[in-house]
Amino acid sequence: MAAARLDQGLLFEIAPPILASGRPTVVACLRKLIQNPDPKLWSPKLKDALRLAALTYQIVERVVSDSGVVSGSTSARSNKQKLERGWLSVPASTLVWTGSAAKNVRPLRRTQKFLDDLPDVVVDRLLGWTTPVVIPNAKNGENWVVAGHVPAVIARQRRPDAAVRVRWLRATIPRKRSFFDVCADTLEVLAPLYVLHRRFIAEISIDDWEAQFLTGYSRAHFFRLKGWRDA
Amino acid sequence: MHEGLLKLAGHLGRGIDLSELIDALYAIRAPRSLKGIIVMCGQFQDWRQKYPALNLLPEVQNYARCLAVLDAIAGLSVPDDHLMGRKIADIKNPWTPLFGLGGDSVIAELLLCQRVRAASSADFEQVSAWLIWQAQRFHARTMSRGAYETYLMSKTSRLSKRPPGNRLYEAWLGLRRLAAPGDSARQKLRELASLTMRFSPEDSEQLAVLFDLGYRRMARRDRERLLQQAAAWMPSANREQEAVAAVKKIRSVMPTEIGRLLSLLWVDRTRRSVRTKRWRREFYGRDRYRPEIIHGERLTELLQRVDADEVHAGTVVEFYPRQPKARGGRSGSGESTFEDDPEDLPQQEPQLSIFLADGKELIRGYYASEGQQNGVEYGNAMLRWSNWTLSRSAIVAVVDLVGAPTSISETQLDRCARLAIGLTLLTGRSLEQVGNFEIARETPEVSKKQPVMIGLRTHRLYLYPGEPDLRHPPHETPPLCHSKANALSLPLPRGWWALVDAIGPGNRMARQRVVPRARRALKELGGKSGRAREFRVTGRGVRHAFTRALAERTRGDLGAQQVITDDGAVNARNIIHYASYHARRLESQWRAAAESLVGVLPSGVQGAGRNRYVGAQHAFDVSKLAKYFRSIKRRAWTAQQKNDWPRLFNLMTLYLSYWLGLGVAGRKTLVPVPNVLIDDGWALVMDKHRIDGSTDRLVPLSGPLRDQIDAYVTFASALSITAPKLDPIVRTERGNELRLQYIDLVKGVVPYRPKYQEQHEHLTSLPANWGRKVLRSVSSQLPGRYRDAEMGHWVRGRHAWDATSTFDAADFRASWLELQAKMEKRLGFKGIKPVHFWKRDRLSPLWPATSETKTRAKAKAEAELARSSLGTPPPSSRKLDIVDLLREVDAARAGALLDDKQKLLPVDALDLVRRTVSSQQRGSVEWQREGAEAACALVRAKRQIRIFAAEPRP
Repeated sequence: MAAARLDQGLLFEIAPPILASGRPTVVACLRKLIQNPDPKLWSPKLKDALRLAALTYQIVERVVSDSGVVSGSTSARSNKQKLERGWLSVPASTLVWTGSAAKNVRPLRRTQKFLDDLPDVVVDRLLGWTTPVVIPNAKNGENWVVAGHVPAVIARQRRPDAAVRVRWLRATIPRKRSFFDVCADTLEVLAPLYVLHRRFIAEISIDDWEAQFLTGYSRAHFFRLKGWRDA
Repeated sequence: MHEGLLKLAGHLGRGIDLSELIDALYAIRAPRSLKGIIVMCGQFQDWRQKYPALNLLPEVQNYARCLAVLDAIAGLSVPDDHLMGRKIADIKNPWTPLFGLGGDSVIAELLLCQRVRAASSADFEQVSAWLIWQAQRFHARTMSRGAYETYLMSKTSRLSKRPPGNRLYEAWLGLRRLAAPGDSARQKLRELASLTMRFSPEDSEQLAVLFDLGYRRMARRDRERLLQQAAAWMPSANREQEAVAAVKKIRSVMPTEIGRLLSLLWVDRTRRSVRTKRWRREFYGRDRYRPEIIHGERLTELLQRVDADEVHAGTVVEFYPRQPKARGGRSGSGESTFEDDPEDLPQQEPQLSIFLADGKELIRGYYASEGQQNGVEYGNAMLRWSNWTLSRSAIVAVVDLVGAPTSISETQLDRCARLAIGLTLLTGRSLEQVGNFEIARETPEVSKKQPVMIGLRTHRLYLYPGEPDLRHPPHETPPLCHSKANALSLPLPRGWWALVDAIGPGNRMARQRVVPRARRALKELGGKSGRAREFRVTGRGVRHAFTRALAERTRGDLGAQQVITDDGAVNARNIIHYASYHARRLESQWRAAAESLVGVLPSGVQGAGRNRYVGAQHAFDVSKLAKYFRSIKRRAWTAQQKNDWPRLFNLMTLYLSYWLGLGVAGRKTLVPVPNVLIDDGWALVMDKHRIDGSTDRLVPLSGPLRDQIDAYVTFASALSITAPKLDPIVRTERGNELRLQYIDLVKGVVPYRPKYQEQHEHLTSLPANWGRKVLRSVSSQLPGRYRDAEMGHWVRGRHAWDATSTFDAADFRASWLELQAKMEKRLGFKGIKPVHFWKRDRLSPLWPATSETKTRAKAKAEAELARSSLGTPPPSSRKLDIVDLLREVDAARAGALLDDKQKLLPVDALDLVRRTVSSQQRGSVEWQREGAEAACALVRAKRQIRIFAAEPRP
């Protein structure tokens, strides 16, 4: 997808431009990758960004499938200018976002199963790569997630007692954009990237387990790919 | 020093020094604030001119100089609203010009009331001046100049002790009543003014004697002597008749309060001269020993007499920590369609107790103090063999006494007394409770006012069953409950029928007469005094015989005992809020207990209606409850079929809250899930949130209930992606706690409140403590102690989980789980588990979150933290100066304590120590205890008064 056509607000929601010690983080590389899906040189960080994109894609695809929402109902807003310097460490259980409505509260079976089955090592690596952006609410101690929803969901579901690093905005509570809308828009953005590099993702996966989670390929397919490459 | 005093001294100039000024103020006992002192002195000057007797007061030295200073004050004209009393007229109630210091000086109130024209009649003015004259004599005997000076210089102490109980203050109130509008009061005031025309000791003495003759009960010999003396004062020839007429007149005219003041001041002179008996009396007024409860900011004081007949007789003041409102308690009205019970009565142990022993010996007082603590535990333990257990032969003697043939020489009072003893034996109620029994021809209607009645035709005893004290008793049977029975009945032994027939119907003897006669009959039962008594029968012994017999049949059930005896023993008033009994079954047990004492009773139809219950407000019908829970399960199933997930979750919340009510015998609370689960399924239930942990209890949880909690957490977790606020696990410093939540379609996820279910599901919610009531009522096969343990009902000496307890925890657990399994089956509690999610095992519920129990050490640490947050330095860094502290609390009595010349009564010493502790209620318990012990030690050392402070055992 051409960078010019990409909604900056949506891009901020999926991959906020975050630097660490002046160098781009994995999530910042993902941003670059979305803007330029076919780089000439695959640095290790770009490969990690591709893994992150694949994992995000897998989750949002299941959320959309479980909930049946379609993209484009609301537009995202870029909060790049309000992003504060520095990090906060908050309990994962305080991260909140909004569903569409209370009546639509439902169990997301495929999503839930996928999250339950994620290996701990993948979870920890993902939380190391990316970080949610929040607006702290001093009244009740909650932190409204405005970007990086997928890592926030994973943190809340898999590491509720842990403290997660977040970036924060100095702003009031934003216009509430439904989690389903965010997922639907994210899927639309990441789908081309995922389709384009699916095979490559399998190739760069450490083992068959990771390949299974990131690409959905069976173990046989993974080894076939590896064998073909080795040959 | 109060700034008013400084200002006044400044205005008076150098001619009058501070000591003289205080002397002058002492003469009229001016209040510390000196509000309106100038107008007060002006009024006093006017009255002195009008009533010259006020110019003389031999009891005060240099009274003339004092009057001169007061006149100088009256002559001041300064631009000071406070001293001039310009704002007194603005006070809403003109009768309380000393507002804030009311009762400190009756003289000041009388003078100022006259000034603001609260009552303007000449009669009132004359009686007021006369009362001032009396007040000056009263003050001369009750307060030293030194004590007054201390009061004047302090900022907090009060001059008057217990204003409402003070004889002088009451006399002032009596006079105020006569100033009320109305012809009758005006007439009385006029007559009183005519009686009090002369201000002299002789006239006052005459009035006091005449009042005493009309008011007091006294021996005939004393009365005759006093009457002779009164007749001697009469001017005319027919003196005795005139004296009697004067007595009658004074009795009708003089307010009792004024008469008592006069009697206190003057009667002893006459009694000494005519040599009648003089009784001990206290100058401040009569000692009152009614149980008295004072709620302070952080402490609740309970004053009561203990065991007047026993070795440890005395007065005890116990200090209980005042608890904040329970967290999450349902307080709002309209929360439930049920008329719910009030909160449990306070049942924690006192943190400090002060004991004032009767008698004069210090050593004996010390042992009495120790014995009083043990006596409470001893009484509560309800041992099989106690001091008042009657032997079999004694019981037979009591039965024979009641069943003895009636004779013509026997009075009706004797018969009633005998029957009252019999009723005590049959009901376990005290002689006072049964003393006003009534006999009706047909089946009588018992009521709360007339709880004991006898049907003459049926020869049955009818009893109004003991029931909980409710603020709003329901008029109709609550839903899902059985109807209540209004009476329990028991056939009387055949041998007593003749006695009942002899007394006859409608013959009600006054309880005040029946009870002493019955006591005397019991006393004589063991043999005439002087000889060695065969047995010692007391009313308490007779009651105990019945309660013991009943306890054997009900396995020590205090609730059943409360229904029959209605005596509120060992927390039974609390237990009866929960315990309900099938009336006929209880009648059978009652009958069996009575037959073990009085022999076989005649057979007959049972009195209580079929399927009627007695005891608690809610006697739940288990089959209706099962239907109710079935309907919830059906709704949950329907919701699951329709994929209505919020509704399913809400119904699961409701279902779990009800199941927890059964599983832990829960109280009213919005956090019904126990925070602490110990190994092997024991849960520590802390639903009263007391910092001392006195109401915490250990309850074993059944396996199905724990599974349901797991299912609830798992399902909530599954929904939490779409509703992240749905997080039933609360992370706290102590660990993780489980809470119940509700998905509201408008507000989103909110903490669970039962009213939501009522609004959305149109369900009649059960009272929050329904499980306690059901369990208490269906667990008759368990020993009473187990039932008290499961409810958390215990008092000193009966605590199940104390270190010294002999409670069999393993047997309790087995019995409890067996009961739970049985009740779960009867009520149809089965787990609601949404099928697709139950197989998830990744999120093992974080519950139980912590195994940390709240120990006493932790409670102490928390209390320490709370105290330090208030800015109170730790006790070790403060030095206790008990003398200063006592002076600060009550300068007058502290002065009396330290000054050997003044008199200090034991009751005043107790009050002083009590108020000292009360004044330190913001401090720690240790600090309060230290202060109490130091104060008691000082009182003992100075005055040899038998007062001791103690910390009761848990």
